[in-house]
Amino acid sequence: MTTTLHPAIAESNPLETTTTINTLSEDLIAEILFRLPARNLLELNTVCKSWKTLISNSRFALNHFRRSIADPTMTNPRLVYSTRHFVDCNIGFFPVQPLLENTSSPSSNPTTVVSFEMKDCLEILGSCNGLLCLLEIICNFVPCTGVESDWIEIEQRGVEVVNHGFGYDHVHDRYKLLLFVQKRRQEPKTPMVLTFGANNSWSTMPDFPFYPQRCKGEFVSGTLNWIHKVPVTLNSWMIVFFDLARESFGEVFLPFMNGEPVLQVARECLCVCVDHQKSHFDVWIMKEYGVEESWTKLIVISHVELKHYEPPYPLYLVYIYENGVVLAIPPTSYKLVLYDPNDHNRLHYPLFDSSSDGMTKFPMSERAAPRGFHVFHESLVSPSHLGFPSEVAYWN
Amino acid sequence: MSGISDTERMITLKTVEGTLFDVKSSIAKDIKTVQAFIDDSDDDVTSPIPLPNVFTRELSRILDYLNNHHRFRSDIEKADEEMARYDAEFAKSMSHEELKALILAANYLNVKDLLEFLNQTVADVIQNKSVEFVRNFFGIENDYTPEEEEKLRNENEWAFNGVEQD
Repeated sequence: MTTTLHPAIAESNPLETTTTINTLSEDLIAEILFRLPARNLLELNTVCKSWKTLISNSRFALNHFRRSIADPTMTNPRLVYSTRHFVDCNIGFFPVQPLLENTSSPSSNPTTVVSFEMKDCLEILGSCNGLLCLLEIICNFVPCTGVESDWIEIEQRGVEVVNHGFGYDHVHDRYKLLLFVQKRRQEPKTPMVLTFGANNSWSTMPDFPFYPQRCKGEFVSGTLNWIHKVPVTLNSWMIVFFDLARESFGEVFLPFMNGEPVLQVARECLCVCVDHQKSHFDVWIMKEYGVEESWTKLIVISHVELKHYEPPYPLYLVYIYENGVVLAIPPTSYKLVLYDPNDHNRLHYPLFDSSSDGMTKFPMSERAAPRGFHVFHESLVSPSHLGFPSEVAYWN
Repeated sequence: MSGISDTERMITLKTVEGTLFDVKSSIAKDIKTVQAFIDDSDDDVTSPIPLPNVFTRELSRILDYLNNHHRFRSDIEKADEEMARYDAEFAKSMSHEELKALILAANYLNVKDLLEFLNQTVADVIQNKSVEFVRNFFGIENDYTPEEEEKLRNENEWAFNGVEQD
């Protein structure tokens, strides 16, 4: 190399730059827009056509989601659950952040409700990248963008979905649903994978090495995860996973024993809650997916502190806040409880205004457990990015 | 003061207007475009390095930012607090046009931390502002017809009325 001038310095013309206005390139604008919440960006669609193109782009949406996921002010995380009220099936959303702010009066943000007219009860199969996968006799996405895809028929008469997992295959940029279906009770459960897209495709998974004992597979890092009992052992558990990209299976070792662990995803990591010698719960987090050395004990909750607790029932984690506060459901009270490890008075029962969700039988403040919460993050990801014909649904 | 000696090598930078700035080589390391120039040079750089896209006002700000951040980092005890106070003042001291000019300079010079800080500053300025404000901020022409704009607004309306406001 004989040249001594750095190319970036050499090629510019000093006189031209003195007169130009400060116009930021599209790359720089994208870097700024990445830092705004999805909801704000939807409004900025109307700035100009090139901004709309940028904001509607599926790659932008995914990058934006990846960068926002750690920050609750960006994705406004909410718990999502399904309820039934006469002929309507409702999906209820309530934001988790306000629960921390005031525990003496109901949250100022009431539950938001989306209604569907359904023949049957609506079940939420999964929440991933700001998309929800819903099951009635058919399946559907409802994302934050207010866009709802067409429903896809997945069941024939008499076929029952018994277990499932919904997630994103980042290698092929596809959303996939793993279903265990059963024609009749006592018949073997057949695992099948539905890959969503303009042409939804089905494949049957042969040689499935395990049958998950829990219904819902937890999605993290391109995998669906279940707690599984190590065969032939008395009290020994492991995590079994399904890799959505490879469509293959694997196992993750658990470095701790004592009772059945409960699996949950928090902070985009696998978490397990283990009942330890009937005296306390340990909450462990696997900071780096698949790296067994990265299991870290996050929090210890004593049985005594969970006043209504009676062993041997497990404790269900719902959400772990940035400051270490845990939102959980102790099974004997079925009341959502906030456990603050940094506060002398550790237990708080958050109050909810869920009067709008139509759930008259088990209002949120009385009984939470039947609802099967999913954590939902707002994003720009839309079913239209998957090649779905879609339309704007008005959620009011 | 990790390994910085009194006899540290100085580098001279030259702006569009011809102003010369003497910069410690440890500071120049954070200006990736300058560092790349130094790395690509066969011999020691002794003559001023021309920065034909960078004006005096912007370079002076960038060096001020980098010098202060180097100083904060050497004093670990109060670093975070002081740095946050300095950053807030730094962001406030600029008009919108100056902010954009500094982004262009920081981008050209590839000063990563500063650019991220400035992008976040702009994001904070425009967050939840009206579309008109955002257009003015970036100097963007509205290329929608009134009908098209109305239609888009209606499509997104649920996001602003239907769910809770932050």
